[in-house]
Amino acid sequence: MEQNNNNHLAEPVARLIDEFNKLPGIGPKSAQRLTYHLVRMPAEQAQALAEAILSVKNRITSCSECQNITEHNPCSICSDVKRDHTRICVVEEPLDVLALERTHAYKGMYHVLHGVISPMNAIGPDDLKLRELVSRLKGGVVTELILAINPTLEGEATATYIQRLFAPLGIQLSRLARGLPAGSDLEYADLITLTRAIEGRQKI
Amino acid sequence: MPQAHLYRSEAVILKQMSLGEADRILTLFTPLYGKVRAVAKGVRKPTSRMSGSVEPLTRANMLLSKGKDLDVVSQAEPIDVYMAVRGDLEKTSTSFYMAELIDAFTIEQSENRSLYRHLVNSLETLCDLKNDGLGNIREFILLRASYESGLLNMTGYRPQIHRCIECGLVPQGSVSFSASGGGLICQRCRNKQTVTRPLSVGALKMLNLLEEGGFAFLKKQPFQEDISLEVESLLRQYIWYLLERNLKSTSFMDSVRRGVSMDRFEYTGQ
Ligand SMILES: [Zn+2]
Ligand SMILES: [Zn+2]
Repeated sequence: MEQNNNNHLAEPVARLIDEFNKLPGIGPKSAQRLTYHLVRMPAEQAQALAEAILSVKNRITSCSECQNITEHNPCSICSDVKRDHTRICVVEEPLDVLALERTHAYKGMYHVLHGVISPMNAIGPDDLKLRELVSRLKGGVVTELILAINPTLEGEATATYIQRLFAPLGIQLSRLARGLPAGSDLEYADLITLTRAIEGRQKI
Repeated sequence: MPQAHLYRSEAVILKQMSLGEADRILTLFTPLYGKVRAVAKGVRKPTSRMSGSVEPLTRANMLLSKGKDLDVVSQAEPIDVYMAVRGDLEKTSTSFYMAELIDAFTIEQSENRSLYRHLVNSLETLCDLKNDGLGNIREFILLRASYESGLLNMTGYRPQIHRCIECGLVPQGSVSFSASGGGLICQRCRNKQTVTRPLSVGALKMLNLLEEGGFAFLKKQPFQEDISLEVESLLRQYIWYLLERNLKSTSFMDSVRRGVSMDRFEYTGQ
């Protein structure tokens, strides 16, 4: 592996390459490129980057309502009285909330699962934010649940699981209208597809 | 740029993980190369023409290029997406289990055509099962048992069910099954193994029939439900012993079977 070539590098450089290499999607080559880019960067800019990274860790928490990542708890969506608190849209990841917000077609609440059921990747129902969703729905305010989960095999299994889970509560359940390509990620859907999908959600 | 080394293979996608912006890392199971790890680039975008063909539990014809660490999927044409499995929780959870077992019992670069065939046949049978909402318990259990038994045979872990694993004699009277010894153990030798369990006459007969034929044959046999449940728990214990861990898909399958309920998600005060 490439890391072995790092022996003759200055220790701080090797260390940064190593850290970048741990990030998703960053291979040894990109890690080196990023590191050398940083080496040449003005000190103020490097300082700003370091502070941004630290403040993500220090100031970002998860919303106790929707489980989305946020600076203030509850988050701006959950604390917005003008939004419809009787509807919850269930998504896999925080980025899906951003994608749906861009459509301006939905004014309800969200719930971020932080994953889907995927036993092959060691993720079961207990590893998702389902406990929190159960307690929100048991509060009795919510009358509609919209499942905006990616149409993948694991996504569909998760949606069916949730559907069975809440069937006894008698709330209205809907899924995003079909039309999203199978196997793709919601966050990459174009606005038209996504807008139609949420407007045309179907009762299940 | 040097020509990348390309090769063709049929494959079933066992699992996927997101990688970077829009890629996925796939774990494939192939007839000639065993398990293969490969990157499918850009497939999380709706514009990707490949996304529908690289979903887990899809059977596809693939063109791959050899990489230093991971191979890269250049093309993928779906052969079967096992549509009847999707959206059906009993079938999906069983298919997760089938995939996880293959992943756990096979290695990379190791040819196993019969096991590949066995997986494909079992997925096809799974699609055809009638799900009455409770997962038609009997047929699901028999299909899983024939899947497990076939997989154990084809990976070299067939349990010895004809003779005592210690003394080599055909046992008379009551017998036990030893997961640690990998087969039958007679009354006299039982203390020589650590993990043993009593084995009923009916369950021993079912283990014999599992060796003889596949699901279609088993389905016609008049098993009592308690016998198939005994065999199910025995095979699970044996597999657990071999893998030295629990499979996540087993607990998911069980939770679906017990009925999805809010009880498990209630706060218990902590
Ligand atoms: Zn919130
Ligand atoms: Zn013996």
